Amino acid sequence: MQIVSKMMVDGTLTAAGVSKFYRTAKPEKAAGPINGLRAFDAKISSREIVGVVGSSGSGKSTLARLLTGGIQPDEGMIEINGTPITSLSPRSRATYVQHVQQDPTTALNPARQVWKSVALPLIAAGAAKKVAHREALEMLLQVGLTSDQGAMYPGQLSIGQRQRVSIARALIGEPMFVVCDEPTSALDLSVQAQIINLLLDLKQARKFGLVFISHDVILVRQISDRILVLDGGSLVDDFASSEELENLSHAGRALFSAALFEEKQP
Amino acid sequence: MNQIGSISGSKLRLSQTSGEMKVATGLAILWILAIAIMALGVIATGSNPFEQVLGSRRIPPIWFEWLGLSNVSDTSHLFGTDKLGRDYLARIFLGGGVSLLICFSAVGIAAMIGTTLGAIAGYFGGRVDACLLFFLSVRLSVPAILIALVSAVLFGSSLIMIIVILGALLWDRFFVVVRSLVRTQSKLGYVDAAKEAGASTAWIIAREIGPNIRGPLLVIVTVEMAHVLLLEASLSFLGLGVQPPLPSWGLMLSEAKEDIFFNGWMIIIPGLFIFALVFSINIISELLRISITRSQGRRGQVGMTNTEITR
Amino acid sequence: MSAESLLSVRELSVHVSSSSQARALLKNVSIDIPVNRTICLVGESGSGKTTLGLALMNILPESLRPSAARMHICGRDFEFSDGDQWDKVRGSQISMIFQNTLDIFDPLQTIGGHVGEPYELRHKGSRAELSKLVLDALSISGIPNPKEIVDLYPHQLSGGQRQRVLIASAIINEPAIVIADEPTSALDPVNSLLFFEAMSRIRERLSSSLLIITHDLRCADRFADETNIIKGGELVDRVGAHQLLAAPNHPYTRSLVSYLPAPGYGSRHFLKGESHRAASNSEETHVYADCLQDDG
Repeated sequence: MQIVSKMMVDGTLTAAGVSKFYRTAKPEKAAGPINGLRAFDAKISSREIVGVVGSSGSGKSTLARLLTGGIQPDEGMIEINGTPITSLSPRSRATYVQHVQQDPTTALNPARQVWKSVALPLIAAGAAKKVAHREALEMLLQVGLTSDQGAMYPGQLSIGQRQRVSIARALIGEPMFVVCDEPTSALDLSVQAQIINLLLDLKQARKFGLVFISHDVILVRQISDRILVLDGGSLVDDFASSEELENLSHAGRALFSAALFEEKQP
Repeated sequence: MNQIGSISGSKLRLSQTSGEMKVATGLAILWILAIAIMALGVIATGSNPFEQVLGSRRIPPIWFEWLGLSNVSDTSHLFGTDKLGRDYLARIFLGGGVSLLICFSAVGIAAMIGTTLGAIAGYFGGRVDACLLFFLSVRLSVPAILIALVSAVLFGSSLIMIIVILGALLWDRFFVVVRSLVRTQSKLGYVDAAKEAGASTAWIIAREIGPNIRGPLLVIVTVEMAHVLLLEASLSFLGLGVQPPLPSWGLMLSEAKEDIFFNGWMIIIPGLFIFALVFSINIISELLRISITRSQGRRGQVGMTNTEITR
Repeated sequence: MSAESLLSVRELSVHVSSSSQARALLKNVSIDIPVNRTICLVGESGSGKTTLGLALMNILPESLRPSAARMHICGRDFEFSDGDQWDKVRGSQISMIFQNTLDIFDPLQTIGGHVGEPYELRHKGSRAELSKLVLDALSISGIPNPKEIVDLYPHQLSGGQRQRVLIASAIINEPAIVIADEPTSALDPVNSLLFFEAMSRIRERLSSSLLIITHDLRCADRFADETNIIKGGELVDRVGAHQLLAAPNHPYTRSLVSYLPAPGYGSRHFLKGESHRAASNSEETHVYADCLQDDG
């Protein structure tokens, strides 16, 4: 296979002074979200689980797309082990960073059997169809889906199952980092529990860096080593989840107390 | 046709998933059959559609005999003869075959041009899109008849020329529809995922987006077929299309116009055939549209609305 | 109890009418909404919770057939087949806040127009009156400066703001009952809290009763006077205020609660649920979704 596995290799994803601005069309967008990012700095190791939280419009999704190379930053640079992401070819970049999207429904091609969607990274890298098919079914097994289910179309699977397919597709190329953008927001609690456990199991077995972006701050705190808090496009907190919440910024504390439905602290 | 049964059984039902391919193949076969039948029909009549028998001109069709309105008709010319004594039925068959052939080919050319340009415009957006849209505006501002006229003068009107001209004139609808479809699809998650997986642009457009737009594209193909038929009939009527002695229903209309009062049947018969064919194609395309929209809905291809409902 | 209840339903069932499967989305559900109470309805996808909400306002899709032994709303008995009866109460005495999406709004209608429409359709009054009511409704919903947004269009607002606008349009006629269907699923914690604060204000100012359909257990625990748990089309449990998270009795409720991540920093695998069980629980969801698409 032509894919060189980057998994199990230590690496660092660095964002330095990254900014992305979106021009708002209407100036009167009432105190609305900018959705962009301003001067974002962070270092993420491939050994850890980093959670990214923030209210809507804080720039979480923008960050996800920047990290996976889907969009270019206006300022600053994102590097992996010193190499800027933008200088990598898409195929090369695919071996370093993969992405699990928020909406399992649109993330999979409705006209293709799911194993084909999973095998796509391999086929794009030049693998033979038979080999790719076999590897895809292997991977699907690892995420808890049978080969019968692999032959199905996304429309025939439940949302939880579709999300498993997305995860399989992200991991099949053995990337160094996986960025999950709200992977469980569309799922029931019980399904969410399964998917989270799946991700954690896989991370332990395969040792990739996990960036977990979510608005469920309680969940994020439970599973992450470190948490980044975004507010209005700026990084306001970067703390280890074992730290006390009192030391957080105002925005950070507001997020956590709101999640527990506590009254806002003055 | 429900997919529900498939979940627990986990058996893949091909008819559900590649329905469009089946329909497309079916249509193609139908077309070829139609042309073949036309050809056979000519042979079956036993008459040569080009043979002019000036002694038996304008013989009325056989039913005039049955209605007692004439005593000249005979069974060797079931639809009578035209103003040059050629067997009308044979000419109808041959004319039909010619029209269908032109239709099939012209739509094919238009579809290829329009789909390719539309996909490029829809996928890349930005300047490429703006450029192609300008090109489209230019094409739309020029009336088809004028182009046909000019090219008839410059290049003559052979069958090939007509096909090429019609194909070159009718790609606009394909362009617009495909552009819109591809644009919508490119914004969806799976396209991003394909890009991130390292798939090439050509692959993404053809193999990822392609299968998702087959349905509506098929509907447009059938609609345009009806359009081409009428356009060809009009052009032939005006003398800019098929040239005599090759028959075409439009041309037969034109040739019959001087006999409209005394031999009305000469103009009514080709007119009815044109009407019947176009009408049936329109019905087929409507049925197709309904069935494809339904199956798209089931497969969750219709945007986001389904995700809301699943809660 | 039923004398006091604003809404009293007995043996409500909803069947899918397609011939291939006679499937019941709701099976003999009985529910009461007393005056001035907040009732939460909690369940997973496919449990029928949205169906119940839609049935209570008789706005189910054509392919679903509701039937009930008794539907008593605001002092009157209702039949599902009598459309006129329902038209009178919908939007005025019983209203619904849908899950917030851009699609629900008319993109060409201003916020003020959207909020005022339910009132305009039922009352004749001056522009000034309507305007005041709109501003009031928006401010109860938690919009700090309503005047600033009445002339804006839906796409110019954030998701949280749009949700509050939906609240405003649901309460402008001062309904007795407000049903909210998954109102905070798409919202972040801060906006979710704002939503529930708005709900509290509605309770205080309008004394409306609320039926909140949600899968957010924490919110149900915090805000509900009573929480009903629904599973597979049936109500399986009912707990009182603040009792949901604190050691519930029913096994299903207990299992639901066990899936909640506990606050605080924890170790891995606190969440119950084996990861490799290939999620077969959502077959129900799938049937449901397909049924709703079937009427196309």
